[in-house]
Amino acid sequence: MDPTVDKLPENTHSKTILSLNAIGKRFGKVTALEDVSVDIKEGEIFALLGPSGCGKSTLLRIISGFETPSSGELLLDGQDMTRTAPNQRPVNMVFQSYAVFPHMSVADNVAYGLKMEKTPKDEITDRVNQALTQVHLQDFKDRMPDQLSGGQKQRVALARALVKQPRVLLLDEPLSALDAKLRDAMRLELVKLQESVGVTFIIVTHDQSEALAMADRVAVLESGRLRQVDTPSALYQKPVDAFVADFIGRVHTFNTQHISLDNGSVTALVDELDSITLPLTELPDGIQAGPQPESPAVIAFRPECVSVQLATATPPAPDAHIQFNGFLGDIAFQGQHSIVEVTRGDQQSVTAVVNHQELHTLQGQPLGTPVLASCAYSDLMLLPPA
Amino acid sequence: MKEPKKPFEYSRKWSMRWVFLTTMVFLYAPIIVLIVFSFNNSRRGGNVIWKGFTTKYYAKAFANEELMLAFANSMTIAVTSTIISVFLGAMTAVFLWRFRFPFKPLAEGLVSLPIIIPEICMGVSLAMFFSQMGWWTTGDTPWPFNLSNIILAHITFSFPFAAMVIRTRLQNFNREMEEAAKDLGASEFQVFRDILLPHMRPGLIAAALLSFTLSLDDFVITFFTSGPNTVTFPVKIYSMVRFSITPEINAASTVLIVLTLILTFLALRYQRLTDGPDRG
Repeated sequence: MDPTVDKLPENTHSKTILSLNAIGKRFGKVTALEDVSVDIKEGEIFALLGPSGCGKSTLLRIISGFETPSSGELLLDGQDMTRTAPNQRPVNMVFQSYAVFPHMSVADNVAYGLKMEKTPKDEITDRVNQALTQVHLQDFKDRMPDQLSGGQKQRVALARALVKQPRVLLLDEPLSALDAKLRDAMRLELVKLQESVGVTFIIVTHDQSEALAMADRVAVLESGRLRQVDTPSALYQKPVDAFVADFIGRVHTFNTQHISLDNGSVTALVDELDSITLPLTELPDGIQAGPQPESPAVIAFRPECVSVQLATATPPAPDAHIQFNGFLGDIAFQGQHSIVEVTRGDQQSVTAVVNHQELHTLQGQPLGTPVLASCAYSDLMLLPPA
Repeated sequence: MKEPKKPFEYSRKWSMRWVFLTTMVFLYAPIIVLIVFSFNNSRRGGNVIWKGFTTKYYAKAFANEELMLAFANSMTIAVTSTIISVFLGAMTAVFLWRFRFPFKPLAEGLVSLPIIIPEICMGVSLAMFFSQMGWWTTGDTPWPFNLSNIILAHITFSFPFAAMVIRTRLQNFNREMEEAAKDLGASEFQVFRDILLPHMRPGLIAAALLSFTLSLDDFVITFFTSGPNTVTFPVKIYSMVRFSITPEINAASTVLIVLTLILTFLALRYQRLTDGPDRG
């Protein structure tokens, strides 16, 4: 699968607003971005997700105009914007430090962009009031920034950018500077705000849970390359490779030694496990049949797919499940579900996320009770290496 | 029972108290004596016998035309050199902060070098420089142009201070502020006018006060660069002292001290604003 091609069926309402075509960026000898192509649709929340140093901030700065790509082009509403100055783009940004102007009141901060546009005074007042109401700061108009909390400053930055009615709003790590409780509230509020204003949001984040919770679509970046662009659920359920699988949620991986495709079924010989027949009719992209190279394809499964039972109970069908004999480790109660650790020999372990029912049979058992962890073949993913 | 001394509680050690006390006495006793005896009703300023309170020497000092001309000269020099120093200093500071260029550390060093060069060397070298260039003002040069040598000299030594103070202020400018303004549609000039200049303001004020104070009470460099009819306040006081010490000198010096104190106090206040954290 080519990760740069959007796999979603074309939605008729959403036309492309921003096209990145083969964007590349080099700083001296360092390649920050390589051949990044993606189409962002009007009115969606699009997240750029990746570990630090993956190039997501550089990409955001290219979209905002603070960096010029070394190669490729940027189209906004079909117009070439690659070399347009940041103050000429209908794109606004909420900076990571919020960058609220300290010597201006809240209202003056929000009005600044409109003053630059030479908007008439009355209109400025109206639009500033409207923008401040949108972010629930209507009562803070005359405050100075040093009288505001971090969360309020962020709202000022949001209002200041939104009041310009940008085609695209860029948010650089919008939640990273907030404390945990405020972060969850703000996450919801940002989504609601986007729904009400209808502006396309592009959010840069390193936090996968943030991206999954807020975005309509997520682009996973790693060392300057786009690994996958998909909806959160597709990223989770159908990651294109082991990197994405591991970055989006937790995953257990096992290297394969040999993969064969015959009669419409895929059989994999896996390290530590036996030969497994996968419910696939063809090999996924990027995987070769036959003996596996040094970085082999992997078999992966998520802790949510693992069931744990006492070793004395009836095991699941062996020809449809991979099974691990182990011993009961720590159980972490998480409310809706619990996380159970099953320790195996040689310091390895399998983590399972279990429901109340399963937990019930395990609770009260002493540590080290022999248990059986299993995962159905249908829940296994065969993925190219990271 | 007294509590035992804690490790850094030096204020409770008698030896430390004595050191502190003597330091304060040696620092401030002469100045206090000078101020007190400016009100002494005695004909000789060196007289340490209190003969009654009077303010007549202040009146006399203010009536002394030569002294007042010197004072006017000093003020003119200070105001002019301050304006030019702050302007040059601000440009230098922004340039050094904003741009990268070859040999930048060298340029930074050269800008601040006049701060550490002994004043006597500055004075002699400036005097020689003016002579070589034939830039000396003559006795016929009309006021205030006859002060141009001194003004140039004062700019030379006070602009590095101004540059340093403003540079410090710029150091804690959040560059995202600048980008945010541009993002909102501001041009390079509008960013400077609306964002950078307000940020620099406390630094500019502190730099101005510092330059003014430095210029007002400078003696050495002024002495070397003053022309025939250009006497400044400190130089005038010095010549009066050589002639004879009268309470008039005490009075004039007190005025200078008070003026300097006020300005230094203001400069320090703004300096504190400058060093404070500046979060957006």
